[in-house]
Amino acid sequence: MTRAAHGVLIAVPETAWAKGGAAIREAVTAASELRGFLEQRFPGARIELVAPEPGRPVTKAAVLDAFAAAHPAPGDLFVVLFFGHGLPADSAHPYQSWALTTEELTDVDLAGLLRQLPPDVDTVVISTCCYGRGFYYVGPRSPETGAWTRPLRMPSLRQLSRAFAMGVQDVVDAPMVCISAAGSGEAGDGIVLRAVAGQLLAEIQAAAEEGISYRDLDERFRRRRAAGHEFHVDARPADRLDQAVLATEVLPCARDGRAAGGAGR
Amino acid sequence: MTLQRHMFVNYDDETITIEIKAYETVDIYKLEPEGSTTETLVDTQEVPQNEQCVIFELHIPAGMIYGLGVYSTPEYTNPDTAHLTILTMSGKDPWPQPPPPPPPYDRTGYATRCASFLSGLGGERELQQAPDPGPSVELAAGTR
Repeated sequence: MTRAAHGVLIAVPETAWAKGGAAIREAVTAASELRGFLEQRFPGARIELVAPEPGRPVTKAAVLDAFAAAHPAPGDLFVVLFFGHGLPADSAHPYQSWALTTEELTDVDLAGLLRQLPPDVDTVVISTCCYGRGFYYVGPRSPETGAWTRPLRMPSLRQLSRAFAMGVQDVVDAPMVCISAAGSGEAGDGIVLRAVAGQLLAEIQAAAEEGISYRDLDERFRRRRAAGHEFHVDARPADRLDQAVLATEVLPCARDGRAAGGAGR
Repeated sequence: MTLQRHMFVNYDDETITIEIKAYETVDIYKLEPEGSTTETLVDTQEVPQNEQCVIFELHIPAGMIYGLGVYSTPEYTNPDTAHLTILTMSGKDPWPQPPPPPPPYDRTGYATRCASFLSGLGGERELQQAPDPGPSVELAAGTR
C-alpha cells in the first residue's frame, strides 16, 4: 500500500540577497515538476508550493503557514524543498539560511520545525542552493566532529535566550534525510552553479523510479563531483541511508523515533 | 577553497583549441547563444586515479563562449590572443563588462546572459542590513 505523502516546496527565483540580482528563472518550474512527480507517485499527496506570484513575495510567514498546514502522521513521507539562493553562516550569523524574497529561513528554524513533527515521520529535505548542506549540519559545524568550526562572536542576549528556549542540541539533532546541492560552507565556499541545480531534482526523481537507496544515490554523486557541482546525501539516523529514495511503502516504525539508530552524524 | 570561473570567448571563424592542465575534475559549460537555457554542461574532464592532474584540449567552436569552474587554479596559455578573450573571476563576484558578443550571440539580452553565465545560487549578507533572524519557530508552535 502506498503511504501518504506531504510536502512543502519553496521556490524563490528572486531575492534581495542575491549579488547583482541574479534570478533563478527555473526555480518555480523545477519545484512544480517535483510536485507533479510526488502527486503521481503518491496519489492523494498534499503538497504546498510556496512560490512568488505577482505582488506576493515569498515571506517567512507564508513558509511557516505551509508547514503549519502540513500534518504528516508517523510513517508518512514529508518532503521539504528549497530551490533558490542560500546564505552562508559566519561568525556573526551562526546559521545558514534559505533566502526568501526579503527575509530568510535559517537552518535552526527548519530544524525546530521538523522537531515539532510526530515521531517517525519520514522527512526528506532537498536543499538546492549554495551552502545547502548546512541544513543538515546546523550552523557552522564540522561535518566530521560536529564541533563548531570557528569561534563565534558573542551572540546577543536575545539570540542566547531564544537558543536556550529551543534547546540548541535538540534542534541540531532533527531527524532527516538531507539531499543537498552544495558543501556546508565551512569546508569551502559552498557555491553551487545554477547550471546544475535542476539536475539535482532530476536525479532524485530518477533514483526514486530506479528504486535505489539514498546511500547509492550519494555514491553516484560522489563519483563525479566537480567545483560548483557537488551533491550530497546525509541522514540522521544513519541507517536511513539504506532506505529506497522516496520509497512508496510504509516504513517500519523505529523503536523510539528520533533516537533510533543513534545520532547518525 | 574559492570557486574560480573562467570564460573563453572565441571571436574567430574557426575553432580555437586551448590546452588546459587542471588539478581536479572539471565541468565544461557552453553559454547558449539564445533560448531559455543560459548554459549547458557539455563535457567533464576527470583526473585519472593515482594522478594529480588532467591535461586536456578545450575546443571552442567559432564564435562561441565556453567556461569552467575550478577550485585550484588551472594552467593554460592563450594560443591566439587576437581572437580568444579569456576572463577570470572569483567566487560570486560578477563578471566585468562583457566583451562584445561574437556573431552567433544575439545582442538583445546578451549582457544579461553573460552575467548569468556560471553564476551561483548564493546570496550575500553584506548587501543589505541583515535582520536578526534568530530562531523563530515559536511562530509555528501554536502562536500563529
